[in-house]
Amino acid sequence: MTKGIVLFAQNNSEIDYVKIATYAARQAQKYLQVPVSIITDSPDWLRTSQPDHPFDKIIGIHQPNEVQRKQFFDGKLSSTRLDWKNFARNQAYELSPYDITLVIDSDFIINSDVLKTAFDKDVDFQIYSQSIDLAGWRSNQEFERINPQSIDFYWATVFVFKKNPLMESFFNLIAYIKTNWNYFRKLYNIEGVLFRNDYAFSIAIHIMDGKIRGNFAIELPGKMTYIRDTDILVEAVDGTMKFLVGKKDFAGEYILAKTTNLDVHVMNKFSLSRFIDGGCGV
Amino acid sequence: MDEKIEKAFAVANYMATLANQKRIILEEYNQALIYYIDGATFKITPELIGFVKATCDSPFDLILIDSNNLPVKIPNAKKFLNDIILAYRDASEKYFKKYSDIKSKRKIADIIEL
Repeated sequence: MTKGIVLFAQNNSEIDYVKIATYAARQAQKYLQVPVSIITDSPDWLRTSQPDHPFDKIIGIHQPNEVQRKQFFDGKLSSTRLDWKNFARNQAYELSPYDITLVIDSDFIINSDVLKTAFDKDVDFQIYSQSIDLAGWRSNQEFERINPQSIDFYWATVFVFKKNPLMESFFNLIAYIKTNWNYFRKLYNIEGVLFRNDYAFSIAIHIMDGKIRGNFAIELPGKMTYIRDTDILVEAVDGTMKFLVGKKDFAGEYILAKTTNLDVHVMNKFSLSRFIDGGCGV
Repeated sequence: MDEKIEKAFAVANYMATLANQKRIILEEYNQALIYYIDGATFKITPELIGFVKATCDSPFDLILIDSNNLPVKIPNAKKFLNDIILAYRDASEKYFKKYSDIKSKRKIADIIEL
């Protein structure tokens, strides 16, 4: 059985996801020692801008016909409205070149080998539902359930799946939810109108479990550790990451936080991009 | 700003940073306690160690239920016991050192090692 990692990277006018994915891929290779492939709508840009890229395979996809726009923050006080191309995630099943695939977002930075053993587990699908905000005082209620009265929340940021008919059905179901997003967001009482993979995965898992809490999705080892895009990455060196996380009740003020050998979902892509360019994300 | 107030804010910042960092190192400790064997995942706890120690000399197979509620047969209970004790000790020593280090620091820059 082949094992590998797949990253998605679809650039918009300001964020070079290809560059971020290249950095994330190097981190993943360093700690997990498996091949990494990229699914991108900018394969030429990848070859031009990252000639020494670490990717096993470059899988090209078409530019999406429709894009969503959302507010991207760079710390608490700065934000820009940009294209958000997140419609390709359900294609992970057909496009992954591996029998067992770990899919990670390009802004998920691996600093440990904790996910390595997920490849050896005799289960079809593993994903995170439990998470930790690096700012301890913030409520993470929105990441516990898709709304306070509804189903459990799962992070589509990181998951491991095996290629088999069951998982093919699961990804087909996600495609169906995506196509009928307005129906499903109303059915599950989701406030926003934007399509979000986390929600689509959570709904699909709920359906696969027979609409009860079941065991179709197995929890990945550890927890999903994250900073929000209103926080800032300062630096990342040898498995240690330093952040400025938003201070309670003081918008635009921060306190320092440090992690050692924890994988971190760095939602502030601007800050991550600055760090990759110049060694400091501030 | 009054010097005393400024000092109070600095102390508040220090306390917030220290409290948050304590929480992060606890999470790092929890992650270090994750142990894998034959596709099964365990969080090493004193209870797990105690149970395995109490049963590892038994002539019966050691069957454990992992963190995902999946049953697993442990092939060599004594080796498993030894491994989880070592991993527990290693993780606890690192946690103790990290905790002692940040507790003794009096400046934010020292806590985060800027």
